[in-house]
Amino acid sequence: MSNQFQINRKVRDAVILNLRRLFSTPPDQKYKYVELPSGEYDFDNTKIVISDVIPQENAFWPCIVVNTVVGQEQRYLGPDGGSEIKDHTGTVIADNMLSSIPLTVSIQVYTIDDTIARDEIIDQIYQQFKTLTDDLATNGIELWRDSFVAENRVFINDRWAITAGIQLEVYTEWTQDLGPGTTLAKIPINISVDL
Amino acid sequence: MTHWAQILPNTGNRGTHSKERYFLEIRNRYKWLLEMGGERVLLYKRKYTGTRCPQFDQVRKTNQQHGQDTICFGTGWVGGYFSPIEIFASVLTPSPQTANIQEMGRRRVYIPTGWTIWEPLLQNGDLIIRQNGQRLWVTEVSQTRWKFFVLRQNFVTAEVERNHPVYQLPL
Repeated sequence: MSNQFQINRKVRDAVILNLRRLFSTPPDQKYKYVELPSGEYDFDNTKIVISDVIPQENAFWPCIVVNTVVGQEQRYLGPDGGSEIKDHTGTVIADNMLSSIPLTVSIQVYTIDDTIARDEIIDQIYQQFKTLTDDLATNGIELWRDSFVAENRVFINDRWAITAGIQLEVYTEWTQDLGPGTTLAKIPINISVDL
Repeated sequence: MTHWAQILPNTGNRGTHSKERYFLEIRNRYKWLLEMGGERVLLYKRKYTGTRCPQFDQVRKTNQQHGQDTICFGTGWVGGYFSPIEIFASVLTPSPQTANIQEMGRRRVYIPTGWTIWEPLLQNGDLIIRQNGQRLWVTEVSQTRWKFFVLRQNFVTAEVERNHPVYQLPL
């Protein structure tokens, strides 16, 4: 992974991009995802919206929300500098810290009174991540397990609001390049002494 | 005087002491009220019979609610709704319009109530289209009656979400 920061965001964005590509590419896509040239939703033409938990200007069904990305990382409790490689003079020539984290990405599908759309969309997502995971791989993410989650229904204004979903368990690892040099030289903070 | 066994009101008897006269007078006053203060809306009666929609799912016995369903408009029957009827209704807004933030987006919560005269009879699932293009589901109907006969209908509605197929209905 190129940028070691914002792990959670990158994983979520990679999943969103993968889903958007799935629903926008085939010409015969029933739930076609369409954006305006400005990058906003084309509410007049799109048949589905795909995003994270941030509310949009208006509700839309069917809707895919990449809901949560949870995970747990094991941290190294040893002294700093454990990953440093030094030459014979003691100067650090490389300092690459390997990190990894398994994450669970929850994808929720929202429909109203429509169990057919619910199943068709979830099946497409399942099938997509079975074969095509380009956007995930580009971002250094591997999918190793998926599971269907229990459905939830709420009765609102004479209609059933249905929430179903699929969970992806992914693994990502990256190398944090702390760079060569002494420890003090690596601290990129300037403190003003001009009092 | 109406015979005790008579079912239909005797509209021919409009004498001063006739109870039917009061019944007709109540209806007339409701009609006048709406003519003065009501608004002209289109009522789309939902179909519950007819030709089955080609998109009807035979396993689940249900229909898609997809925005591009311009054949059945999510009802399961070809056409979806009968031809619109122009009626007068008084649409009130007893509760404020609020926004409900949910994960799938910002949902406008707008539940206007209203009333109209005794006919045509409203049912849950019927659709009301206002002059400003607003589409409202009828979600609850209660009737005021006089000896079984409907005097007026009170109804509760909910605004239809913007990508629902009923927005494709020809006006």
